[in-house]
Parts: sequence; structure tokens; C-alpha cells
Amino acid sequence: MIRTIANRFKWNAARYFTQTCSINSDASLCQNAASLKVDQLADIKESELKEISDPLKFPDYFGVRKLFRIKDLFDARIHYGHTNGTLDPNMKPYIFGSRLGHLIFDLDKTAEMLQDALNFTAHIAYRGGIILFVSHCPQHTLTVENAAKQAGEYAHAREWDFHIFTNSEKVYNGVTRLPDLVILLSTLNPQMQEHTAVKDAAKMCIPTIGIVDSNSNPNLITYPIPGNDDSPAAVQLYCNLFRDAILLGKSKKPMEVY
Amino acid sequence: MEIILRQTTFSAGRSPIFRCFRNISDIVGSQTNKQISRSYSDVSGQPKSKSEIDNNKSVSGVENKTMSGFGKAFEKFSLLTRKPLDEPDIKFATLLRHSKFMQLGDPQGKVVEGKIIRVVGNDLYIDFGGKFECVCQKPLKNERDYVRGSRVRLRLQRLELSTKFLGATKEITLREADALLVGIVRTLFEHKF
Repeated sequence: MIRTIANRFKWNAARYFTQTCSINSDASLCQNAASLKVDQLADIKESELKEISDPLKFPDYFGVRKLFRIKDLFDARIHYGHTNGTLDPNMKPYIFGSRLGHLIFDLDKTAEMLQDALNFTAHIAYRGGIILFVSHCPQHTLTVENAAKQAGEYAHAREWDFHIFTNSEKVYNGVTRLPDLVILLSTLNPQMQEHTAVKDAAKMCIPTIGIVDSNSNPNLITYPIPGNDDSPAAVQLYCNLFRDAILLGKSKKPMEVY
Repeated sequence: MEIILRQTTFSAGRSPIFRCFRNISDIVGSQTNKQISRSYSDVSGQPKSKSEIDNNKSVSGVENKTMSGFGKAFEKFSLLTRKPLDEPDIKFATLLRHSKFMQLGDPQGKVVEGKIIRVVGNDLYIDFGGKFECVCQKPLKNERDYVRGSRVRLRLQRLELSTKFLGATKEITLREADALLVGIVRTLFEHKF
């Protein structure tokens, strides 16, 4: 892999030198200069070369897969869903089955989708994006706000003002930068209706990550994560995972622009 | 020396226990990688490791002579501090099949142990390991015992209070379980003042 990067630089370096050399100069001189550049590149440490490569080319650049295991999800009661009667038909693919009327999520599917979501979060954090944690469950307000504080990002765990995203310039009396990612710890408000942030983020083309319980609709969410959103242990786990993913993303040095 | 902290989640009736392990291999000189990982696993590590030690001794042909002193201690502690990520991942279907939730069956009438997580006036919010917590009235007898953190015994009625109202297609959920408070869990050597 290092060799391919060096080859790429060789090609780029040669092009750079042929452009900067004057038209009348000797072609061989330029080639010698290019080869010199490559030798210098060879001396650069392997770690520096890795930083220059594109993180998007890797499936799991930040190692978010190591943040959790299926047993951790199980112990945090993520597999518990609501009852059969409250099931949203769109959630059927993510359900493992029902035990005496109580639905169980398929944690294998949840784990896969959670990995994708965490990877996405880390990439957004790496590129300096604003991340907004949203939740309207009064029980979990403190957990969500603490997680956002520890991650160095933002949280809105109170009642949602309808025009925050769609009419932000009027609400905040000036040009506002909207978040680059919205993480919903629960896609329902206390009235059991879909949270306004889901619709509004979709309107403003903001990608969303959302924990969808068996009574929620995952259709408008970019990275839905099927799982329990009611137990405090589950919400604590999600908050910790997202916070860790953000910190992982921020810990890597952003790539040099050349 | 590196101190590794392990934190358990709220299992039915169990208080979060913090355990500190010392990494003895640091004395030996090997380096350990620092990972941003938290173990949410249950407190069932102890008996497992002991049986594993016994298995290791019986399976490997070398262990005809018993280890003593530092060797024995090192083996014991290296198994204790083995990070959860080194062990193979248990499949979800297996975890579910052997879970207490499956063992419970029909929750109606089953006696479980819970822990009081919140007290609001006369109401006790009790977590017994299910999706939701239940709310029970504080009994008049032994009122002082029912505080945040006490272990109580419950007789479950329903794991979730959700029913269909007249004319509705979908059920409405109260996000609460239903249980009857039986009493405090009393251990043998408890002092009563």
C-alpha cells in the first residue's frame, strides 16, 4: 500500500516538475529532479504517508468496530422491542421474532447498522462537521447532554422549536450554520409522534442517524439503527458509543491539502 | 502499573460493581495497547476463569508439574486481565436462548428481584431488568427501607402496559411495566437499627 502511494506521488511529482521547468529546459534534467523527489519521499516515515492517504478509501478507518460487541448490546437491553400491537410495518425486517407478544430485535442486523452509523459519525467529526444530538425523552436529557459535552459537540434534548432548521435565519436573527449530522436518540416525541427533527433534517438535506424502536418509522432516517430507545442503559450505551466515535474521528490529524 | 476498570450495567437487582485489576504483565515488561473500550458485560467472570484454568491444566500435556509461586500467580492474573475483545464473540441467538427473558416465559405471576432507581413522593420506580421500569406505591410498613438503591421483590403482572383503545388500529403504550411489590430482599446478616 505504501508503494502505491509512493508511485502516485512519483507521477504527481514528475508532472509538477515538468510544469515548473521552463519549456526550453532539458527533459532529462526534469526527470532527474523527479527521481530525487521520489528518493526523498522514500525517507518519509510510514506513519506520515498514512496520514496523507484518503480515509474514505478504508472500510473502517477509525476502528469503530472495536467499540462494541454483541454482548455489550445485549447487556444494555438493546434487543427489547415494544409489543406486537405497536409494531410499525416498516420495522419488520429488523425484528428477530416475538416472545409472548414482546418483540425482539435482531442484534446481528443492529450491530451492522450501528457500525455503519458510527463510522459515518467518525468521518464527519474528522472533517470538522457539527454534530447535533437530539432527544425529546425527559428521562434521558441529562445523559444526552453530557455525552454531547464530552464529545465537544451540540445537543438539543428539550422541546423542539418548529422553525429551528427551516427558518433558522429568522429564529436566530442572522446567518446560521446548520449541523452537518443529526443523531436522534429517540425518533418519537413524548406524544408518540415522529419527532419534527426527522422531517426537518430531511428537508434541509442534513444526514440523520436515528435509534428506531419497533413503534418508529425508519423511512426518513439516513442511518437508522433498530434497537431499544426506552431503557436508560440502552441510551447510555448509545451515547457512549457516539461520543467515542466522535472522539476517535477528532483524534486523527486531518489530511494535508496539497 | 496499569489499572483497568470494569463497569457493569444495571442487571436485575444488582448494583453496579466496580472492579480494579492490575496488569501484572507490565512488571514483566510487555506493553499493552490503550483502547477506547468499555466492558458492559455482566459480573460472571470469576467462576468461568477458574474452570478455564482447570481446563487448561488438563488439556495441555506440559502441565504435569503444578506451577507454584510467581508462575501460578501470573497465570491466574493473566486470565483475569484478559480483555473481553480477545475472547470470541458470542452469537446473539445463543445469548437470547440462554437469557433470563426466555427463562421467564409468561411474566404474569413471576417473582423477580428489582432495584429502586427513583423515589418521587410516595411512588417507587423499580428496575427489574426488563425494557421498562415499574412504578409501585411505597408501603406503610417499613417505610424507611424503601430508598433509592434498595433491592425489592416484585410479582410481575405485565412487562409493558399497552392496549388498543376503541376504534384504534395501533396500540397505545404507557412505557411502563406493571408489578406488585412483595417486599424488601433481606439478607441473613443485615443489621436493623
